[in-house]
Amino acid sequence: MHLLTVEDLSVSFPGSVAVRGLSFSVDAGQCVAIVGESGSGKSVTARTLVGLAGDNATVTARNLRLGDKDLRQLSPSQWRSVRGRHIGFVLQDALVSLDPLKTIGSEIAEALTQHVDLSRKEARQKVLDLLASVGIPDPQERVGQYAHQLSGGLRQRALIASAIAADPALLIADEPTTALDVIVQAQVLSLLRDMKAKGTGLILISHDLAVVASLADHIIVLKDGAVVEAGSPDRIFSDPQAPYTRALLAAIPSATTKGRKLTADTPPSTSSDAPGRREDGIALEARALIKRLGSRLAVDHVTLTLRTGETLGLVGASGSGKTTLARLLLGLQQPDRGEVTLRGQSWSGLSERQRRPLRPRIQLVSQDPLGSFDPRYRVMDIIAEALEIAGAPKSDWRARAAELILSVGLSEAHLYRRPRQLSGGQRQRVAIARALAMEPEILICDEPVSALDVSTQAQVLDLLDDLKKQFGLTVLFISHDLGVVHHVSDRVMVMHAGKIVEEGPVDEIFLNPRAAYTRELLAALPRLPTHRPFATHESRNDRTGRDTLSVSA
Amino acid sequence: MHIARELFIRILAGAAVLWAAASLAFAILQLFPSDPVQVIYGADSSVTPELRDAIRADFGLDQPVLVQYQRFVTRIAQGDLGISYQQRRTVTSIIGSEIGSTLTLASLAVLAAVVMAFLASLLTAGRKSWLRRVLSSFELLSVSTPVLWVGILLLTFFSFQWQLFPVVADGGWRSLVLPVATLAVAVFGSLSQVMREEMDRALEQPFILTARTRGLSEWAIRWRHALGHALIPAITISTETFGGLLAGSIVTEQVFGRPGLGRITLEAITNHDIPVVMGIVLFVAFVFVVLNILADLLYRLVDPRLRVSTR
Repeated sequence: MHLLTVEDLSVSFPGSVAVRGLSFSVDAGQCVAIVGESGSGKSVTARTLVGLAGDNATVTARNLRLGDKDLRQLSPSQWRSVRGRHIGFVLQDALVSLDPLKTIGSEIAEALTQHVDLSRKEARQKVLDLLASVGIPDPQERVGQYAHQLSGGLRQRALIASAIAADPALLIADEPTTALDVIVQAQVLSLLRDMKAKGTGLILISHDLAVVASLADHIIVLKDGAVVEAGSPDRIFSDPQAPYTRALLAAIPSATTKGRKLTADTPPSTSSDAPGRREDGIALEARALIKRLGSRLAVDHVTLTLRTGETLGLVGASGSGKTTLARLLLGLQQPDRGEVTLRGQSWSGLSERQRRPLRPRIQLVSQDPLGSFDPRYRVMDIIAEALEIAGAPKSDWRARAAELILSVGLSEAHLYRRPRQLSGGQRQRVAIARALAMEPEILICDEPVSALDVSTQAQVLDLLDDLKKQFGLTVLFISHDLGVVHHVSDRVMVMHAGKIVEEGPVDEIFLNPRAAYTRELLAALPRLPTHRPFATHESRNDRTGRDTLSVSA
Repeated sequence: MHIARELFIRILAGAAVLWAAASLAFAILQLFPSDPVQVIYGADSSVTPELRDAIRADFGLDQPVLVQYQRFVTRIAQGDLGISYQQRRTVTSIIGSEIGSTLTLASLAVLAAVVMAFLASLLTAGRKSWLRRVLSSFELLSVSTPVLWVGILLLTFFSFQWQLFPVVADGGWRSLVLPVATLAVAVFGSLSQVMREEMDRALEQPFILTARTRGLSEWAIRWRHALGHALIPAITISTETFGGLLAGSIVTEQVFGRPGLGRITLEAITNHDIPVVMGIVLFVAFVFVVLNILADLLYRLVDPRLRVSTR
C-alpha cells in the first residue's frame, strides 16, 4: 500500500479549473516533485492534499487515500486530526509563514500539543529536540526567539520543525527554498534529504527543476492544472518529451545559456546593432567605499569600476552588503569614506540638490516592483511621473508611454491597469519601462528576477538583454543566483561580509574560482544532473517550442 | 535595560509636552485683552479692593513677567494648579472631587466597547455571515450617529417608556448603565471596524495557513493567531478615546445630569473661571501624556518586533 495515493484528482473554482486529472503516489522514504510555473495548479494541489483548498473549491477524485484512510470522506474535525499529525506542511518564506507575534518555540509546541498529549515540561524538551534535529544551533536560546530575530535559513528550519513536530509520515513542502539564497537553499534541501532518508514521504513543490533535481525520485510537470510530463529525474532531464518541459529546462540560466535567449518566443531585438550613442570609457566608479550600519561594516573598502556598455554582475548571499552598495552607488546613502564618481564627475560628494538633475542618468530596478509603485497609480501615471522628472513635454507623455510599454513587451492596454492587476513579470516590465523613461545611461538591477518563477525570469532576462543592446545601457546586475549572474554578466564581483572577495571575467571566476567563498557558493548551486543537448538555439526556435511559454509574464 | 532607558526618555518627552502646554496656557493668560484680575476672578464685579490686592499679590502680578512665569511653572511642577476664587477652592480639589465620576464612566464605556469589539471581530472576521452584515451596519450607524442623539434615544426608551433605569444620576449602579451604553456604542463602532479589518488581513496571511496545516481548529486560529494582530489598533484607539472621554464627555454628562469633569469644564467656561479652565487643560494634557506612554508600553507587550531597539 502506498503512503499517499492520488487518482484522477481535479480541483475547480467557480469559473476556473485549477487541477485536472492528476494521479500519482508517494511511498515512505520517497520524494515526488511537482514542478510548474505560477498558476500551474501546484500549490492548489498541495493545499487540497491537506483539505485546505478553500470553501469555494470543488474537489473530485477517483481515489484519494492516505494509507488506508479515504481523504474524500473526512469531516472537518477528522481533517484536523490528519493535518500536522499525518501530513506536515511547509510553506515558502518563513518570515510570513510563522506568526510574527509568537516565539518559534510556541509555534512548534502548538503543532505538537495539538496532536500529542504531553506535559508542559515534556513538550518543552521535545521542542528543544526538534530544534536540534533540524540543525538550529543553541536551541535553548532560539526557542524563545521570534521569527524576525532569525535569519532566513533558521526561520525555514523552524518552520520545518513545526511541520514535523507530531512526526507525520508525509511532508509537503511548497517552494521551501524560494526565498533563500543558494547556500541556505542547499542546507534546507539537505535537511529534507535527511528526512527522506529517515523514511518520511516527501512532496516537493517548486517552479525550478534544478532545485528538485537532486531530491526527487519522481517528477511531475504541471501546466495549467494538467500533467504535461511525468517520470524519473533521469528520464526527464536526459530526454524531455513535452515541449513545455524543454522550455522550462531551457529557461534555467547558467553558464551554458550565456549569449543565448532563454525563451523561444521573445520577439527578436528590434535593433541588432548597438547604437553606441554613449562615449566609451568608465561610466561609474567607486573608490574605497566604506559604510557602517550599526556595529557592522556593511560595505568594507569596496572599489568598483563600471565600464560603459558592460554588464557587471555582483553576487553574494543575503546580508553580504550588495543592496547597501547599490544604495551608495545610486547616491541614496552617503558613504562614510570613499567616493563615487559618475563619468569622472563627483557624484557621492554632491548635495542632493546638485545630484537631482543628474539622477535620470542612473536608474534602479528593484526586486519588489509592487512595493515601488503607488498602488493608486495606473501604469500610465507611473510612467508619466518618470517622464515628467526626465523633463519630457507633457504633450509627449502619452506617445512616449505607449512607446515604452511596447518596448518592454506589454501592450497599450496595460497602461490603464493598476499595479495589483498585473502579474509579477508584468510588474517588473513596468518597473523597467519606468526606469527607461528617464533615458538612463546606467541601470542598477537589484535582484530583479528573484521574486519570479523560472519561466517568467527567463522572459525578463531576455528583455533586459534586448533593451541593453537597443539603448546601449550599462548594467550593474545584483543577484544571489549564480546561474542568473553567469548568464547575464560580462564581468563579475563576488561579495561577502561587505568585502569584494573576487573579481574578474565571469567565465574565469566561475570556472576557476580562487576565493574559498566563491567555491562555496558554486558548490551550493543546484544543478541539473545532465547536460542538455536539446537546448540548442535551433531546437528552441522550432515550431513545437514556440508556443510553450506564454508571452506576457 | 533598554526598556527602562526608553521609558525614561518617553517620560522626559512627556514632561516637555506638559511644560509646553503650561507655557502656552501662561502666554494666553498674559495676552488676554483684559485685566488679569478680572479674568481670574470672573465676571463678578463686586470685588473688594482688598481682595483685588490679595489676588495680585498671590499671583505675583506686580512682578516682572519672567518671574511670574517662573513661579507659575514651579507651582505646576509641584502639582499645584492654583485656586478658583469664584468657588474659593483649590483647582486640584475641584478636579479631584469630580474626576471619580468621569473616570468610572469613561473606564466602563471603553471596557464595554473593547469587549464588544473583540467578540464582534472574533465572530465575524474573515467570514461572510449574516451576523457580519448586521454588525457592520450597526457599526456604521454608531459611527455616524451623534452621541447626543444616542443618549436621548436611550433615555426615551429605557427611562421614560419602560422605566428600567433612572432618568437622572442617583449614585446607584443603575444610573450608570445608560450613560456607559451611550459612550460604549459610540466607541464600539470605530473600534470594531478597525479591529475586524486588521483581523481580516491577518487571517489572509500565510502564517494562518501554516497554523491550519497543524490541525488547529478555527476558533484556536482566531484566538491564538489572528486576535493578537488586531490588538495594536485596538490599543491605539482605546487609549486615545479613553483620554478623549475623560476630557470631553460634556454632552453625555449633561444629558444624563451626571457630575464630572465635563460639567465643571462647562461651568468654568460659562463663568469665566479661568484658573479652573487652565487647570483642566493641564490635567487633560497630563492624562494624554500618561496614556501615550502606556500605549507605547502595551504595543511592546503585544508585538515583539517593536521591542527591538532602533539602532
